[in-house]
Amino acid sequence: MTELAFQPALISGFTGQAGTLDDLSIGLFVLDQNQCLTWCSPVAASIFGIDENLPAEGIPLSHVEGVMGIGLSDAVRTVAQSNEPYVRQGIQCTNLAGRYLEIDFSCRLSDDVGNNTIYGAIRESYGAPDNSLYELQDELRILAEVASALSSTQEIGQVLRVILTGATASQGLGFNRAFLFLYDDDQNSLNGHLAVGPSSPEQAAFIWNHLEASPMSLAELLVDAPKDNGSVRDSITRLISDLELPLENSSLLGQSCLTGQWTILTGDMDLDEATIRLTRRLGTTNMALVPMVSKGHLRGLLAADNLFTSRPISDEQVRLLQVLANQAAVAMERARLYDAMVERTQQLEKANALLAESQDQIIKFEKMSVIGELTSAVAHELRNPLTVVGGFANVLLNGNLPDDQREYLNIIASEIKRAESVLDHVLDFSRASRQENQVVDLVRLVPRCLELLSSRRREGNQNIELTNMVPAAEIYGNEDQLAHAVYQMLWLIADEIIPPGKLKISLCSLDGRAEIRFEIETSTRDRAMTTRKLEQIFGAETATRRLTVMVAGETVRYHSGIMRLETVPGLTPKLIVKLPLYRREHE
Amino acid sequence: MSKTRILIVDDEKALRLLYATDLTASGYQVDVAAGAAEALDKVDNKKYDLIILDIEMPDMSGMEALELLRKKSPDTKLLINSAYSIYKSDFQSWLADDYLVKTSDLSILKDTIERLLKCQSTHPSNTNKS
Repeated sequence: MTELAFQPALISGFTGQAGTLDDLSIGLFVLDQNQCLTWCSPVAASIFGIDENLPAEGIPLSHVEGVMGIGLSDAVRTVAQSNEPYVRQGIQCTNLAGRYLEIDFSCRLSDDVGNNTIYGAIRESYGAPDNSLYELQDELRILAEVASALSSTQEIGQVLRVILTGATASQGLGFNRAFLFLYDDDQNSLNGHLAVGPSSPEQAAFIWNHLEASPMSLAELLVDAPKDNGSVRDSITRLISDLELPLENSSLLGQSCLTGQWTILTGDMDLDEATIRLTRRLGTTNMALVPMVSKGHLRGLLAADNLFTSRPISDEQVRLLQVLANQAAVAMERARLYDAMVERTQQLEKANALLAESQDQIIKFEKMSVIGELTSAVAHELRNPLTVVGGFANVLLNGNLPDDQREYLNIIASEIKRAESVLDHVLDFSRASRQENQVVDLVRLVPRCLELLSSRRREGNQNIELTNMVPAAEIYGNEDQLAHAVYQMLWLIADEIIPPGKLKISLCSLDGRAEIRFEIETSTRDRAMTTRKLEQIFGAETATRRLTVMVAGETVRYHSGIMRLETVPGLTPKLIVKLPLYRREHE
Repeated sequence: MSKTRILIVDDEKALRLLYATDLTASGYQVDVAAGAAEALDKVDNKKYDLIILDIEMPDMSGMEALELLRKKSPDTKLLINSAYSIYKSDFQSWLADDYLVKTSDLSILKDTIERLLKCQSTHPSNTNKS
């Protein structure tokens, strides 16, 4: 760059100091009558954004000003024409190098050197160029990368690790260690939860050297951090995992959490007991304490320190840590709400399934109830005609009749009696159908049916034995219908199959179902006959012919159960009824 | 010796005929009424030893008639004979001396009549009577 020989007086005229041009913190420049730079100092070149290694001579001001866009050309023209100095402060612009500036600018016409030579001075408004903008950009980058990492996960553990990594990474806030405490609403205390950082100076050196050897961006660290150095993180977490800090309003911790304001602890502070417990555990009295608050609720506390480097903690660092802490609190709240939503969704799905099941049951019940009503009405309507026909047959039988007529009338009377028996059975079932479903304990129901059978049989319950009863076997259904079905099965077996042999009844629960087993024990000689009789009554092909068996089978099926015969050659034949056990979670 | 007088109250003509035929053949003096109103008229004019009463009748329910008959003729035995068993659990049916469900086996009816006329009732309201 061409330098002109400025007179010392000129220099001092600008600055009031002796020295060289390069010493000046104000940028100086000279413009010729064509508003082209003939010279500018390094500071001026920097402010203009001109590469100081290239000659500034001949660079038109309009070229510079065209980028800066602040009317320098007009100002210089005015100065040249009027000989009035131009001064303007606090001009915001962007220079040729793309740097944002706020500058003070002045220029005046020179009478000493030549025609229309303009001398100008330029400086940044805050004195020496400062890095606040770069710092701001850096802070924004950290926050943006942390926010991006947080938005990619709903898992609360991952959220907390991202925050702590952001606080401790050198590409992040650069604290040596960060500790996270979660707030316990019930106990009003802070409980140690997670920590990131080395647990000793040696480990610190090892980790930081390792990271420097394989540098990763903050974004990469936030994604990868949970996967490496797990043992170190675990040991640092163990430092606080059993720590419980009660929050008292009078303590520093309590005050910080109550007000939501961060605090920087220093060694010279007068600390309360709870805070002392924390500092002792962490091994330092110099730390930042930042409460994590979301929607006015305390979620936890972030503590960060520089134990190994002893770097002082600045307000700006803690301010940024507070932003991270708030992000963490929001993310925790979001994760909590997400978990609650998932749980609620599962509950709703369960309830929906139960509702669908109940709906099916209600429809079934309604159908059965309607069938019951219809059946009852029909049965009652039939009883009168049956009484009349059977009654007159019996009246006629009292008289003198030829044998064949007597025989016919006997047939009429006995068939009417059979029809009346079916009617009784159907009416009993229809009466039972109108009862509401409830929890039925088969352990009480089966013996009750046996007692009823005993009262109606001349031989009582001879040859019938109750064995192997479980303590309880609850099912959900119509108690009368079930009792009716079990009674009918008992009656049929007792009346038509035994003796010979013995009926053994057992009740067990298996695979979510109650199982009633009717086993007919006979001698080997009688087994085939017993099996045949059982198949005739309860076999799949014949069961539909007998109304009583059909109704019993329908009752079992209505209760989502199965009724089947087990007749294996050489083994005791069995009638097995399986019914689903009642699940108490329905309540 | 005068015959025991029985009144049969039932809206079914065939049943009235059946019971009247069989009970007359068994030695009873039998009257019939097609409904409760007719029965109350007959009771005003004649004393009966036993009334056999149906429940489901078009003009007046047998349960209603039961109360009126009991008031008119406190000494007469009242036997409910219905196709429906559900009225057994009706408290009002306790006004009767017994309750039968209709059956073609007339011997059950006749045995019950005999028992009642001997002043033995098994209906819950009369369990303490001898």
